[in-house]
Amino acid sequence: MPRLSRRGFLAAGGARLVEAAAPVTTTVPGGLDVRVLQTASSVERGIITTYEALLALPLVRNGRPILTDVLRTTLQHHNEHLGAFQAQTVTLGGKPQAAANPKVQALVARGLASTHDVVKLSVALEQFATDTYLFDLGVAGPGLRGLLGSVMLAEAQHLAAVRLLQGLVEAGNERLVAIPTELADVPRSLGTVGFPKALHPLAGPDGVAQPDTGAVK
Amino acid sequence: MRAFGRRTLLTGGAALTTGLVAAGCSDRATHSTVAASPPPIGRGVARTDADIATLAGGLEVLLAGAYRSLRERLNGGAFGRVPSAMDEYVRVAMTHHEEHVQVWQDILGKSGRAAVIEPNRQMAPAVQRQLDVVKDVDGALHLALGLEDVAADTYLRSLTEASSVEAARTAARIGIVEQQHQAFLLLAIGDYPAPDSLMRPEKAVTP
Repeated sequence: MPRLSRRGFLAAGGARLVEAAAPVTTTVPGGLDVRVLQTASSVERGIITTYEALLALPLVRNGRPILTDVLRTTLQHHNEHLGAFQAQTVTLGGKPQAAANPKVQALVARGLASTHDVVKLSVALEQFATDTYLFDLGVAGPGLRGLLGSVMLAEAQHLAAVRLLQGLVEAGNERLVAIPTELADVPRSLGTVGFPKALHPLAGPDGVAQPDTGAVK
Repeated sequence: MRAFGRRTLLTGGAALTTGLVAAGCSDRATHSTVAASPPPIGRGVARTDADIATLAGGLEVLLAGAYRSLRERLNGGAFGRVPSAMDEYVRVAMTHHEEHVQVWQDILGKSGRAAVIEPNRQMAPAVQRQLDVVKDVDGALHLALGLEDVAADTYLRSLTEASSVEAARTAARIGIVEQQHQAFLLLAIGDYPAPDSLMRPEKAVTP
């Protein structure tokens, strides 16, 4: 399978990614909770545009059905997350963010040559979202914790799901890359690949979208 | 494949889950599907971080003990031939919950509160009843899924009620792992591993 460069990836289905690349501002008025929500919206927008682009790639469209199913279902969830964050932004008197976060777009700047590459990108995106909302719990007001926590746990489960998918792909047996799979035949490591640590690590500044990276001017 | 909600998918193992929820759920909601609206999580009864740690500690003692029981029976051949990934999952999930116990014990120690050594009283009898009737791998998977569901929902509620950022983040960091345990269990059962768009603390246990 030919290796897709980033340019090729974008040409294949990432037009909206380019549109979304309009930089978001970094110095903003408004309360911290509004900025957290706007940045969360920008993270969701970045993931949505990426998944839309991935779903348009021939290697996904012509690949294993499970990959399309996972990307499509997860995309639907992220659209719902975006709607929830934007609605709460408006409730707090802010302007909803519609642009993608540049830190998410930076994650996409890599070649995609195989199903494995697509799944790894998905892992990176879900990890970034999970870590961002975990970080936000420490900076947002208590009134936002319910929404942030609700979405964070959904992202965490996405993360585990795509790690499991990565584990199935890496097992090298096409028959196992399916839902349902053959539990008796999957590698032993699949029992732990979704959750490598007992306590989810706190990411450093590079691994999250801090509230000033996606706020509306 | 359609984007099923978790509650829909769990109907196959609903009996086990229902038993656990009936034992410990504080605000069983009627939601059967997810919706794209913020979940109704309130900061109702005021609780201290030590209360949250005590509740969490009791739950973790319960889960660690349940996995220990399942592991002993798996190793003893009670469930027949066990898939290696399932065997590995039970071993690691047990150690995760043991580590979670220690995290909460440390927080309790800092607050001057007594360590929790007993399993959560609300849940323990129901869990023991379920353990007594589990006779195969599928039953073990559903029992574990019900326990992880209760734990994750409890942490989701706790992170909204915590006074300190440290307690909120600790609940979140552990809740993430409980949620991820469920992904494996769902896949092992044959279901989609991440069915829900927004999580709700429907099965949260209260002190």
